[in-house]
Amino acid sequence: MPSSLSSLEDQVVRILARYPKPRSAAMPILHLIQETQGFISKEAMEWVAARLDLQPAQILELVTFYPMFRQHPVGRNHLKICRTLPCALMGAESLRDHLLRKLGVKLDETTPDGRFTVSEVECLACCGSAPVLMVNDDLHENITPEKLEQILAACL
Amino acid sequence: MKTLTLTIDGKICAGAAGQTILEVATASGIEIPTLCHMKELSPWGGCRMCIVEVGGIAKPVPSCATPAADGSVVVTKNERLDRLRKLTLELLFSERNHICPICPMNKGDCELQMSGYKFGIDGIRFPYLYPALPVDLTGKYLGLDHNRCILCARCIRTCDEIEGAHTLDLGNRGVKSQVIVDLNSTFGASTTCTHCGACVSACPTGALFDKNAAFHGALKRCAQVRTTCAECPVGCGLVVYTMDDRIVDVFGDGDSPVNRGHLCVRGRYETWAVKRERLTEPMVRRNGALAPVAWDEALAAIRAATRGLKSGEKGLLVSGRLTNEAAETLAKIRPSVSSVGMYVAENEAAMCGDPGAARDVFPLLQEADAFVLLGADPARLQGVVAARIRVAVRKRGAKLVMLNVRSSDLDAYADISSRMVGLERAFWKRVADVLKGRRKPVLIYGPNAMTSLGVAAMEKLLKTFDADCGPSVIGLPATTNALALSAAGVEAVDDLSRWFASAPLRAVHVCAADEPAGGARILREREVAGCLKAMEFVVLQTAYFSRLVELADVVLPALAWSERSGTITNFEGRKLPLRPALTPRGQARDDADILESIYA
Ligand code: SF4
Ligand code: SF4
Ligand code: SF4
Ligand code: FES
Ligand code: FES
Repeated sequence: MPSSLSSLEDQVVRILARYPKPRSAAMPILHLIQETQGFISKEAMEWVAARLDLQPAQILELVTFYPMFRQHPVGRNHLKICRTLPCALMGAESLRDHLLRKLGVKLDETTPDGRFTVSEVECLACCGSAPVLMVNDDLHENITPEKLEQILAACL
Repeated sequence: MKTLTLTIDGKICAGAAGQTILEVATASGIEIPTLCHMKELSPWGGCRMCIVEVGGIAKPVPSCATPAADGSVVVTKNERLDRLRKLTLELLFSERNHICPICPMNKGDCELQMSGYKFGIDGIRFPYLYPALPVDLTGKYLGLDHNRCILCARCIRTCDEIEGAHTLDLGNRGVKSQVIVDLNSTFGASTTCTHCGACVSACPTGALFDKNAAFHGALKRCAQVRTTCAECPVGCGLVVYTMDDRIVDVFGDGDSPVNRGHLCVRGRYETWAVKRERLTEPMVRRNGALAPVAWDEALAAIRAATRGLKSGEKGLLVSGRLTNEAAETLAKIRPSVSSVGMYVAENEAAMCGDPGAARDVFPLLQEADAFVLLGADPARLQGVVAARIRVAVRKRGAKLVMLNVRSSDLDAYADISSRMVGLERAFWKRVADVLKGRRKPVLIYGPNAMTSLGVAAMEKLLKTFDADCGPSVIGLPATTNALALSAAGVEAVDDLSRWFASAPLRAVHVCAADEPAGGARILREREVAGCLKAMEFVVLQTAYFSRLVELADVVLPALAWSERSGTITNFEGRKLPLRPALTPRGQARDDADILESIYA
């Protein structure tokens, strides 16, 4: 077991205690891994599977089904643009293209300085103020190209 | 059980509580089209081909996943349902790359194609997506072409619910959904796949296919022969598909009370999808080299060489794959060969002798809540039993304790797995804790339970189960028909050098029958090659070439598994038929006939 994962053991035990069946703990444990490790590696998926008496494919199923889980590291500022219909109607697509052009990356690529990664996500439950963008855990609403400039400038 | 009455297409149909609409309809002879449904698997409701109208519900419901309700009025066919089913099929066809003429399931073996014909699909109203998806050809026996997959999950559910491996799952979402193997691995690199091929049998399209069967002939046009797998003592039912006197594919027989259609890699593939060099003519050694001869000549050579020998100087070593009928022949020829031995697996001789009363073992496995394996490795030898254990552990939370001499693929599923040596009190305490409160434990022992360590472990184990709930004890031998042959008086031998030393032998006849690798496994015991070389005369009777051929003075071609007839008795005591699917290759002859023509 990789040492970085074994350091999560105490938290995993606490999560497991909340559920009648170990497999129900898969989602919170995957979140925990992503928060602490930055992404979910193959090694981590194997570890979770073994820990919950599941087969590896059952974990990959979850990790690939939910767009919020990622299998690769991201930059310091993870820019998550909503791609669902209301935001799309309010110009999310051109905003995305603008952002990608400006940073010189493709979707899910990280800038060479490790500062930014741009990804698309499903509805962020804020459709009333579409288009919306999340930077790590902070939500930004009614995004315009100008607002975007300010947001980027504020990122470390 | 509570009974229900439904009106389906105007017909009054009886069902039982818990049945789905589809089950009630099928039982009443009403056919509803399906694609993702398989009666062996849990309902999925993924394809929507089986939709029906139920009185009082506005939307059509999937009959395969909807419980039948008492008094409901169901319509399975009308214009609206047919229109929706057609739409479903068009969407399926448009989603991937269904170019039938270059698909291995073309010409009647594809359920999607046949549904297309049935519903008169002659064009698609949607744009074809034609994604370029990968093809996984790394599997030893099977391939997966994602371009032909309809995401019905029949393979996934089969792998999970029947083989118990859960190698496969559905990755990604929406239009990007795809069948995945482990952590995005391949069949060749998978750590969980047992290569049982059950997923291929379940696939309704050409997505999953048997590499050695693809483009070798449409199964629909093949002859089918129901026979029994002779690779191990489980005796699974097989359906052998043949065309022009060659094998196209081999599947499990769904009607077999033993395996109910499921097979392990040995029965499903190893007997035919692996190249084996076949022996087709009798041969006699002349001036050091083997030369093909006619049967008469070979038999005359044997008679000439053994004429001066007393019966005690002639030995006959037979394979444990011989049929019950061959055992009768062995009894008949006894006067002219007094030393007859059946070579079995390491430590297996002590398992032979008393076969005990016949009983149904599979229902016990189906219900067991704890398994203890002692000196048995079904994952390597009797895969269909291993599958039942994996399903019980993974799906029903059964416990698994393994005590073996070497590692097993089942170790990964075990609560406790240990070698049999140096077991301390703390170990037995752990075993007792695992087995505590288990009401239907099963103890399966194999040949390696017959060693002194195994016997000691067995004694300990029997005291470890809860006192009021002793285990069902099941013997699982390694050699196909060893129990029945030994019960018929053929001595089981697992120490061959001792057998050679036990009589003043001068000539020996090795009847390897259709053992894989031509029976060469007897050479694993180090002294056996020397024992054979020390003989004045060696006859080898075998279906396949092997290193043994070099040690023989006369070689006789035996029938292969697909050509044999007779019966074998499985580990439950069931007598099961072998039926020829092919005509004998070359000059090959039945084992018992050969023995009779030499010794009777
Ligand atoms: S071959 Fe057997 S174990 Fe492998 S994926 Fe298919 S069903 Fe599962
Ligand atoms: S591979 Fe075959 S069985 Fe599996 S989901 Fe695709 S079509 Fe269905
Ligand atoms: S379990 Fe035994 S009888 Fe069944 S398919 Fe495998 S080798 Fe053949
Ligand atoms: S669609 Fe973008 S937040 Fe809901
Ligand atoms: S057969 Fe019922 S939904 Fe597929």
